[in-house]
Amino acid sequence: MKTTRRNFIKAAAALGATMAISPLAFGNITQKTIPSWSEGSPAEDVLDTDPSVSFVYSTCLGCRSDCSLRGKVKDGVVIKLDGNPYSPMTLNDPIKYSTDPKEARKVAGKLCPRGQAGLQILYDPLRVQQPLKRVGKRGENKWQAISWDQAYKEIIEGGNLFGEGNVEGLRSVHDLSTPIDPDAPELGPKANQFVFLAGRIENSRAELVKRFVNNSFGSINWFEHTTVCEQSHHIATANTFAGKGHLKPDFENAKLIMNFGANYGEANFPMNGLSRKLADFRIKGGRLITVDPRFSVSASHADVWVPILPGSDAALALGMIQWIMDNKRYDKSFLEAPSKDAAALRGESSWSDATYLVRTDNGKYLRGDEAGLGGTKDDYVVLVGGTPSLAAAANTADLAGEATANGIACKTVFQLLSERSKERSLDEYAKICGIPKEQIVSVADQFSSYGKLAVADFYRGPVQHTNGFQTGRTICILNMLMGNVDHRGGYQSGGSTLSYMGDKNGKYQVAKLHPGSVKMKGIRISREKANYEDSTEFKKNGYPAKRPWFPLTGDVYQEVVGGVLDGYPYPAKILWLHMATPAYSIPGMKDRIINAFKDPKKIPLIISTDIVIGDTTMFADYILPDVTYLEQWNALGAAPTILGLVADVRQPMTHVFPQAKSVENMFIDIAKKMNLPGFGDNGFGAGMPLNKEEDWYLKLVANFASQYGKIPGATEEAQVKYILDRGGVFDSGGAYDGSMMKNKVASLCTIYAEKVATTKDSMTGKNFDGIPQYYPVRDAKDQIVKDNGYDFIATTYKQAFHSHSRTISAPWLTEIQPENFIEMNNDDGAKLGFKDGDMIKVSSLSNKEGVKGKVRLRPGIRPGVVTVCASYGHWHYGAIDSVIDGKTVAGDKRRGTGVNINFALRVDDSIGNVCLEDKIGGSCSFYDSRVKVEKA
Amino acid sequence: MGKRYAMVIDLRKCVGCHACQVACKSENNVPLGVFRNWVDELETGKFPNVSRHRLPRLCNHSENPSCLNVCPVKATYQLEDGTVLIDYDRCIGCKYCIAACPYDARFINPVRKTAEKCTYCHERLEAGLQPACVNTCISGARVFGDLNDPTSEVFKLLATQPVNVSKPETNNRPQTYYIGADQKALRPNLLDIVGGEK
Repeated sequence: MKTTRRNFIKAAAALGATMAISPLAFGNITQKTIPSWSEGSPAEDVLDTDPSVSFVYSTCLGCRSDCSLRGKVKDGVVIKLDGNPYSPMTLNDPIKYSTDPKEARKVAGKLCPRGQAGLQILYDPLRVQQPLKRVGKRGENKWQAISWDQAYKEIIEGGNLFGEGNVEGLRSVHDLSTPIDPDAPELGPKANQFVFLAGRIENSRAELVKRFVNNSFGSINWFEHTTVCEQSHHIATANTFAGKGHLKPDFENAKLIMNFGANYGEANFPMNGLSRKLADFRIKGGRLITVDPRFSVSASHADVWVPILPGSDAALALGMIQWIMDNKRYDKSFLEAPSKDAAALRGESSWSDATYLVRTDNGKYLRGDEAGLGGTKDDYVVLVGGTPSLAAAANTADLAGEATANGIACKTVFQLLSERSKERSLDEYAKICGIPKEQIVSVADQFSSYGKLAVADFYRGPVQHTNGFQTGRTICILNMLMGNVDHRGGYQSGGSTLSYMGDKNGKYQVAKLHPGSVKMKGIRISREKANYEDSTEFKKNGYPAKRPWFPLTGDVYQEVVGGVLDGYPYPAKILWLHMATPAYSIPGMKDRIINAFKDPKKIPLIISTDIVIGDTTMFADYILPDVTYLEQWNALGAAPTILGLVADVRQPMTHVFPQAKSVENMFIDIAKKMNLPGFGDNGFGAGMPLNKEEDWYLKLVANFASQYGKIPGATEEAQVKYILDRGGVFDSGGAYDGSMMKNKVASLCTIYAEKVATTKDSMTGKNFDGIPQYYPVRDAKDQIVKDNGYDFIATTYKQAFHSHSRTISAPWLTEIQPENFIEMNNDDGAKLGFKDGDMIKVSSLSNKEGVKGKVRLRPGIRPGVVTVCASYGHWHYGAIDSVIDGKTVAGDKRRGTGVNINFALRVDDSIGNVCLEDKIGGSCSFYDSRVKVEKA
Repeated sequence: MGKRYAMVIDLRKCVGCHACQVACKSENNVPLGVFRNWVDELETGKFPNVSRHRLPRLCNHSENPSCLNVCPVKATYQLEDGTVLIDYDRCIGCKYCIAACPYDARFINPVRKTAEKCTYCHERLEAGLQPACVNTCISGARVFGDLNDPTSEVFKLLATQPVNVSKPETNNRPQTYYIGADQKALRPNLLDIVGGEK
């Protein structure tokens, strides 16, 4: 029927051939080469059931969720993206895994807006299409398109690359014997002066790049971005739930969810599946309490909105803990079981340390060999009727209590928690939170009225604070008090996956297939996973360290940059940015990073891999054209929200620009040119080549097959094809085991974080606290940040239709909301004389120039708070004109609209070159900055 | 009995993500700046007593559509199954239908210069597929089907849930049914109510 089909854009039909084979010169990208670009879509659509289209099953990366994806391809052009109907990521009731792919055409999974708009990121006319080398100074945005041969030669061999003097290349820095500093040999060899910093780097790509950086090149400095996301959430969770870094409510069976700053339906991942689970939870009558200073999507669906002040979540949780303990509303049976066996008698799979004795003198658990009870150093000690006893020998132990055992003064963990929660009254907690005391009592009462079917969930909101780790722990402990871990309807570790690296029983134990593997050595430039006390600096200078060390966390993104900027503990020679934009992302640091990156003396060589000329990569020496996620490989698992087995595969749907190259292939090429071990014809061992990314990924997919053990097919190739034809291995069944989850933590879960309590803060020399506490915003030297005269607190959030720095190139998303706003409470705005749409300025003590944007006044923002959604406020990413080979490539101004409040946020002036941060979990503080709000 | 298509949108489930809007763009290649379906949002109340109203909008495929008879060239027509469609070859772009639609559901396609609106993805229905917006609705708020089929989800929802339609007073008899809609949100342009910018 001619009336209903969009048959008016015929010109697009031939696009596929053009895109696939013609190497487009950068400046020629116009609507002539992508004719339907102005309509947003690369080609005319065809029905899924049409035999002329084929499907490629892959995995999305429109946000972090990794939803299973299906691309519809016609003549080499991806014309539509949908969810993968085999996967529980995109359908509550996916089709049977054995379904023939021909039948699967009739069903499509669900996909959110940014997922669908991936087409526009793939076919973005402003993508980098050839290696670019800067001409002129860094940041002038003038480039020369060069060949890969030239790019590799210059990056590897160095030389007088820019007419500014000699620059060391990878080969020169690849020195495993010369120490960076002979006076501080612990820093490691010169090779560590090559620093690889990724923003998002997906699992399985991460391992290949680590293989290069850590174990072939031999630099210890491989990093990804997690502290700029929500690392303190992972670290807090892992320190409570036996190393498991991410748990989620069992949405299907929980009765009450108290959500601390996890933005279901917007940001919290997997956003697609979580939205469905939230909707179904509510329809079934599940009760939702949302804690957030912003009236979020989750708040709008909640029974109760608790609009606390940013950074006060720990005060709320400790107030609740106090009330729950005072009113004996905790799960006594769970908490008083001191061992696995005692827990099993009560039908529990995990058990707690609530009854364990902690030494007052050194903050360690009292051990059996110290207590004079004939135990060993592996035994914990409890009180039974006030008398010390080995935990393993007791079926029930005292919760509250203190004792002197064998002359050692101790208290139980429960006692310590109780005392901590009582250090402030409920009135004081209420004042800190900025809510009535009655609301703390009310939510504590509601939360503790559903037994094990009440779950406290959290994500980024409560932890991107200087108190983030401790706050995260208070929320974990709310779950401990309910005894809900591993329970159906409780807090649970989610579905299962298969080890793509083959670590368990895979056919290819890929990490071990690395002849000549180098053992990396030294101290990371971020000082993470290392103790300051072991350094030469400490021996010379004592406390405080020049910049904080992070013994309890990893991937401290902002401190990789801080370390590079300060040359501490040593200078970097080569910085490689992959899918990373620290100047855009790290709070408060935009201008400081740009100024430092502009200086080749500070960082002699900056290499970047990007799909566009990015906001930060425009300051690089080289931009190497990366491929988009729709042109990539990966092997992945799923978030714990999704129950059942998910082992996802990402595979290329197309390859738009011939010169674009995956970062995997770049490192394979470079390794081969440098003769590094673990790559090339015998990269995995004799006769086992690693010459291209498929050599890596097909082994990983084969590992899925060998571990799952139920993939049809006589040969490995047939089994791999079976998996690729479905985009992974999915098995939704068997999530439960009676009243428990099938996948369990099944371990000692800890209210007391012994490792934290026995670790020293490099800036103060004091031990961190093993029982979580509330404290106000503090700098690295533990000074309270007050900033009088800066009366508002700035926060950020993410909408359902944008992700981070990387979706502004998709017109389908920007037309939903062409610009963003500085949002504040309407009464606050009225007091300041603002009208909706006025230009206003937000600034902090350390960024007095601040940012300017249009104000939006709404009732759904807590008074005293301003918030700005992320993803806007780009200064490049295609927003401005660039010069390539002397010709101007016109930018697209729509990408430069709106405001990024990150640039106005507080820097930690006590050490400089970094935002405020959490010294335990490592997170950046996004929500602690005191700001001034005024008319622009 | 023949089919009678209708859509039920359960606002208790909607998260306002705009997946429906983008799916429509992708499926139907709707030009930038114009929309066959979209989501209006409105926040009301006074802190801390705040509400959010979301209203996914599209052509209501009304039983008695006011766009039908105003068309001077009979380009707009209605199928037996209730779907209101436009014959783009007949359409002269006079905009009478746009003025007549009480739901702002129609616009001029800037490329083709004819009137355009939601078609329920009719070609997908004919192939046994759901409309693109329904298929992709991540929270499952959108349900589409045949009101004449007692086994259909839309039939069951209408039989069991209180529903509203937008602007019943127009006598268009719209076939988009909302569960959980706030009365004041059921206007064609939410922001008109509060005087904000569209």
